[in-house]
Amino acid sequence: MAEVKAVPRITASSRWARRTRHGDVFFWLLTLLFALMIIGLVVAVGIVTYNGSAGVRAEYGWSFLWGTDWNPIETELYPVSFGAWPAIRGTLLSSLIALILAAPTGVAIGIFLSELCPLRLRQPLGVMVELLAAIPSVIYGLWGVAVFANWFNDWVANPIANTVGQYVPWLAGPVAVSRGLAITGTILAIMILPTVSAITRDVLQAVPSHQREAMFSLGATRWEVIWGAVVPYARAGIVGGIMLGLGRALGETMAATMLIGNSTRIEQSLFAPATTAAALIASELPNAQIPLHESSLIGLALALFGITLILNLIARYLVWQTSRGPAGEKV
Amino acid sequence: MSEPRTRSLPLAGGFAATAAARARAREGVGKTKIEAVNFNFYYGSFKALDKINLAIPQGEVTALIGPSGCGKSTLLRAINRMHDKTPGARAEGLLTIDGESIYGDEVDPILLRRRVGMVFQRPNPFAKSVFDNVAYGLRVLGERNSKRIKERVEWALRRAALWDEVKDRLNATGTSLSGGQQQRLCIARTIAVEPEVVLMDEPCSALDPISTLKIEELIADLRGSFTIVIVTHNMQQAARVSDYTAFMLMDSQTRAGQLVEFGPTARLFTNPTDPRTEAYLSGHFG
Ligand SMILES: Nc1ncnc2c1ncn2[C@@H]1O[C@H](COP(=O)(O)OP(=O)(O)OP(=O)(O)O)[C@@H](O)[C@H]1O
Ligand SMILES: [Mg+2]
Repeated sequence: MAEVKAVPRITASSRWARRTRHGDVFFWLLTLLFALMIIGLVVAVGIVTYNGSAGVRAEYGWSFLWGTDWNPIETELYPVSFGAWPAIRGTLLSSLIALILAAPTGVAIGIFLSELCPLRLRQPLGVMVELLAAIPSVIYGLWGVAVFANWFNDWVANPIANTVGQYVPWLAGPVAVSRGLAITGTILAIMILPTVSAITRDVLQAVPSHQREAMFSLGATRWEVIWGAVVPYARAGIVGGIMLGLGRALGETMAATMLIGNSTRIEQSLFAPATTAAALIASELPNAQIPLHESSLIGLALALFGITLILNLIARYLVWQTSRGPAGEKV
Repeated sequence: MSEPRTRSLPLAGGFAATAAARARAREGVGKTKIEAVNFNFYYGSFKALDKINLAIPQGEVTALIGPSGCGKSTLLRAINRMHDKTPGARAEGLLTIDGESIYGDEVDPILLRRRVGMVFQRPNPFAKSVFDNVAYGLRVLGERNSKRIKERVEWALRRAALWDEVKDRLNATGTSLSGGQQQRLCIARTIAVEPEVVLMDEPCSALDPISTLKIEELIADLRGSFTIVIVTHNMQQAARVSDYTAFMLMDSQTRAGQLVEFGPTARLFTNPTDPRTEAYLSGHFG
């Protein structure tokens, strides 16, 4: 063995030791404070929306949630009435479309980036995906209105409405120009795609290489290694990524407001204009004339808050289900 | 493709004599299974193995020993082409199994790995149940009959001396077992598909002495049915479990791994021909 040159030993000065000892307590308190702040925020949001919606809850009770009429201004035909269902339905449907489109595609992109992509392409593609995730939603909305909408109408909406739509009512025409649930869902899918891909890629890359090697050493093909060992190992994280994307889609306001059509009438077709909770709140809150209107919008916010909470709990449950028992391991 | 070589090696004596004799009674035991002829291995421009020549006999246990960094793992993993995914890794010279070149153009590494299984240093069960861990390799082979899979899983777990401990919890996750049990599970997973060769890279280094003992007994039991190549840092272990031992060293200038001596374990340990082997065995390096 080679001789190693002696260097001065480093000892803790008593002052330093004293400081770090208190530092531990200080650091602990600081992190605790921030952690409590999170809880405080959630509670505060809950209280504010709950109190703010007192009016609407007194007026309608739970039936606010499934009321189908949203008429903030009295007309000859319709009396003033506030029902959240058009907005809740629009929120759920547009997010569902986004989820159906983005989850498989995003997971596939993540798998490609982490497992199959040639090394030279991995870095540039990865940076691009992250860039896409960082684009403000108003830009997606703008692009959706200015560019994507025409293309979507010509190549997706109208062809479907004219063929399948003849028989399936929820895909029927007439296709609203540049607006509707379908196109909003599609844009939301494009928006959350980078989130899902980037998280999938990250959790797949975090799968220890010994899992891959174990599979390879059994004579598995690349595909079998990915499906049999890597993805199952990372499934909790992948579900988490999809849920994060879904959360973004549920609460997305800008792109939805620009594309959904802002119609509180419930129409069966996905190609008809609709509204979402976020879009409705954003577009009507500044102009709310009567207290009940404002209170209803806050009630809608409370409902949206509840929906995201419930979906998150379901996601947690899914993760817990798949990560326990015979099927898998916690990652 | 050339004819399989059948050059036999001198008989091993001493430590493993009875087990080895039992094994050799079976057909083909003792003939060359894996042979390296002037085999070099590179990581990029770094030469990790330099002119390795050795013949690993069928159905016996061959230990690779030597100080850290001398290329034991590199040689072991070259046998089932685990380096294929490592950028810049490259083999040169001849490495054969049953006389066929492992790095030949026509060789499908997937099929090769079905013949040459591997047990790793750290137990690495899949994020699946105990049962599925063992069944997975069978399913990869294309077996769909669940009765046959069940039989095979039980067979493999019994051979890995794990059946009695896990037969009531086949549905528990593989990772819920103890470290030693996990490693035996990994061995069961490997032998379930009945490879011809089982490579083991320091299979006991993450285990306690009792688990280590169990694995050593298991290796003794598998000898004869499988050709086993085991890397170990534990000299006593090499002496206990192996019939043949290869001693490797790193060249002090180039840092390339070289084979210093290869022979029957009993002879190599009691009467090494190379002074460097003697020095290593008596604890003078590494
Ligand atoms: N993936 C790699 N890329 C580059 N160099 C590598 C790689 N793997 C191993 N090496 C180098 O090859 C040489 C041999 O490594 P190897 O892992 O085969 O040693 P070893 O004998 O198994 O050592 P140990 O007993 O510590 O496991 C070492 O110098 C190591 O740094
Ligand atoms: Mg090693």
